Amino acid sequence: MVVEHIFITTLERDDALVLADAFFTDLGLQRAGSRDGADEWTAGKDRPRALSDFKRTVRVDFDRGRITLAASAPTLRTEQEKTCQPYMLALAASLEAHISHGQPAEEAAAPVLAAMDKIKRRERRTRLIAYIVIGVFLVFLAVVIIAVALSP
Amino acid sequence: MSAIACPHCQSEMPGIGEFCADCGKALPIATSGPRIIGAREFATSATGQAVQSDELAKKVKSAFGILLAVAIIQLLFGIGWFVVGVVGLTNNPPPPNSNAVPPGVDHIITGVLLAIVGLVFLGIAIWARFMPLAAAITGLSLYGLFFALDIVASIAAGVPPGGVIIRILIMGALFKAVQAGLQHRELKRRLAAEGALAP
Repeated sequence: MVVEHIFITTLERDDALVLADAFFTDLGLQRAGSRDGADEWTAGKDRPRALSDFKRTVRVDFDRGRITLAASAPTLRTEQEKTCQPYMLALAASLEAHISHGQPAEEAAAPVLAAMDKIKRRERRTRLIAYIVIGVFLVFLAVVIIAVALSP
Repeated sequence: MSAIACPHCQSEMPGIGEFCADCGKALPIATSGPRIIGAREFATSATGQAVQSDELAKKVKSAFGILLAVAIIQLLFGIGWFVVGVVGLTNNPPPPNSNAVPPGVDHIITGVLLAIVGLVFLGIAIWARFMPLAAAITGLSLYGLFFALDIVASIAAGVPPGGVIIRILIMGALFKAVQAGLQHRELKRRLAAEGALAP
């Protein structure tokens, strides 16, 4: 999944990128240097144990006041993409709100944190369902074993 | 045509062009917010295309894992059939002066054939490390051919073909890798063309 967002800022390059760095760092992303003139931040693992730890990369390019943000989550399966889409879109929109519209970082980051919260809630629900299914299966297995043991 | 004010220097600009004619900075553009690049779409910006290119490259490289899995499965089955055949032949040696095919020989032949197929896919998997798209296309074609041959042979023998679901899943995964590879090639072509046109 790739998300693209282009917006304008009146800030200078260094100021904009310092703000972007602080914003992404607060959201748990780590600076991964720059590639092809664009700055990059990443978070998550290639093989995450939990969906909320999915691998995501954000690249930001500054060109004469125009900021191009491209974010990707390359390891997600189709059904996981739908769950993580709001987070990726919020990440892009929040950066614009912070850099371009001067919204305070905490306020701008709120939709991103809310989207991540939703991912975690879904993750907990999925885990609970998995535990229930395994529990039912184990009970069924135990009943079968007992029935076989007690049969004459 | 309506004029727009440059957000950087406040000059009035006709609503054309991406950058201000006075200060040279970017003019506002009409966007509907962040957008998700669909499976058959391409990002509009160079940065977006570069990120998309990286993502597609990873998907094409997944062909290596699939082809390697196919190779290992074929090799394991091949070795298994070979061992079963050799054990059968050892336990039931053919009677002297008998023209009948000894039991176990058909298993040995099947095992050797499966092992050869496994080695071919191992070769294609190694090839996929260097040329993932070509290897994925070859792997998909060969796997499809073997699948079709197996179905025909099973129908001729009057037995249901085995492992149909897993084979369809493998073919689906290889097909996705090929699709991503073709899109990646097109994207690379576009990036190269844009690079060539850049001043």
